Amino acid sequence: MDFEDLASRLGIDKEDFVELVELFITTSRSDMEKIRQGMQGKNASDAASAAHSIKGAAGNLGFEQMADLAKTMEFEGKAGSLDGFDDYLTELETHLKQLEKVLAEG
Amino acid sequence: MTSENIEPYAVLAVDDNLLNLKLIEKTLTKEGYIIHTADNGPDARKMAAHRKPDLILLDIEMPGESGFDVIEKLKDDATTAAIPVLFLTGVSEVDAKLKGFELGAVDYITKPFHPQEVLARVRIHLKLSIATNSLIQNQAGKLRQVTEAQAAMLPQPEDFPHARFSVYYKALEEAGGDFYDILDISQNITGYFVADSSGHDIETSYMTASVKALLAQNCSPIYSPGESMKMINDVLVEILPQGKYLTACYLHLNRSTRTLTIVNAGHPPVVCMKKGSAPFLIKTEGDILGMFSDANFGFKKIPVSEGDRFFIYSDGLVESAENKITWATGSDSLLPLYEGLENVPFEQVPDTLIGKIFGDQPNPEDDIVLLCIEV
Repeated sequence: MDFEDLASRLGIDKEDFVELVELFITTSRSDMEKIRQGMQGKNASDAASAAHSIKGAAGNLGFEQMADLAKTMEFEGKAGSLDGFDDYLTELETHLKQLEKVLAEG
Repeated sequence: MTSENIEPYAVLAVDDNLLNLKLIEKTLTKEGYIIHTADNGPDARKMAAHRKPDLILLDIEMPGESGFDVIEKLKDDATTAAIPVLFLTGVSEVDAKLKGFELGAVDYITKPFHPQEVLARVRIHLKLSIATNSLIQNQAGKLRQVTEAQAAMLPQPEDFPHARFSVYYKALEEAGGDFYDILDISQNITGYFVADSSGHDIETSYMTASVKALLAQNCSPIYSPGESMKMINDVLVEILPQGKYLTACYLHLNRSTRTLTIVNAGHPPVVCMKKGSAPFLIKTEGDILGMFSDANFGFKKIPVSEGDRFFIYSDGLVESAENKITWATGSDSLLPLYEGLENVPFEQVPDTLIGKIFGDQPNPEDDIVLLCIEV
């Protein structure tokens, strides 16, 4: 994953992009926590709106795989289903770990 | 908002997603804009009223107060109504886009958004907003050059057969504060305007000519009735001498969609006579015309049917200084007199009604305009 390239696509410099990615990781973890709470409380609509938030942020930063995944979760959550959400969360976490790795490498 | 170039333009960004806010903030700050941010509707409205930004970027899907609620409330508040709003919405949500426009947004940006697109749209809408403001200044400037008051021609029903109106007009010799106009906006859309200006002097006829010119310039298919009145108000605020103002009522009748829009600026209520039912008043509270740059007019949009009749009139019809009656009470008390008018041909309705109200009294105390419109 090339942050330089992603940043230039957005028309901002790498430094700003890094800052946004850090914010993205924090807000995504907090949204994922909301999804977990939604799963525990069997509240699919809460989980859907947290997924909506991840979708928007990931989409704007150009993290398309995460945006697609969150979109699926939002769609299913809105339809009242929480099936497979454990796997989705694991997958999201993998993406976040990967971002953290790129950040750490500078 | 700001017409000076010295002050940077301020943009209020509203989104419950902090990352989106940050991305907008970074992009616009770099280009020299001042960014205010809010992550919920109520804070956004408070900030809009307090900071008066030049433009607002507004997310639609937010928990609690949605973006739609926010636009609606911003447009209802005179201090924020003129600020252009661009909303952010999902790419496929056609209904949301249409609803946003209906509520008064100027444009939308689809999500996920590209920051450079946000920047480009912010720029173009600021330019448009500046152009509109300078248009108002320009129109005001031209009218200031009018040195001689011109007696405005009052349109006659026979000159506008498709407008289907009839009128009673009587000006006191030394007065002439009342005036009306008919506007051909398009083939099936007609504007009807009745106004009563404060004072009775030479300036009044200048005002009449100015308003007539403004109506011709601003009542066109590209402006909604509310926008037309807002533009006229803004110019009048610039040109009228202090303490001068008008009360006015503007009816915008679309015979294709069968919709009547009423914009009322401190004028007596419109009387509505639906075919086959009892007459009633359409009360719409609103500020007067030409006094406040942030005026908020009474507004009502109603469906109409063929044969419905509407009456706009000046306060001279219902007020009496001698008998201490004001239009607030006078309009109500006159309602019974409209009954039975349904069977009178509409060309004769104004004269018949005047006869019923004043009987044999020869001289009314004030100017009178009574306009009857039939759908």
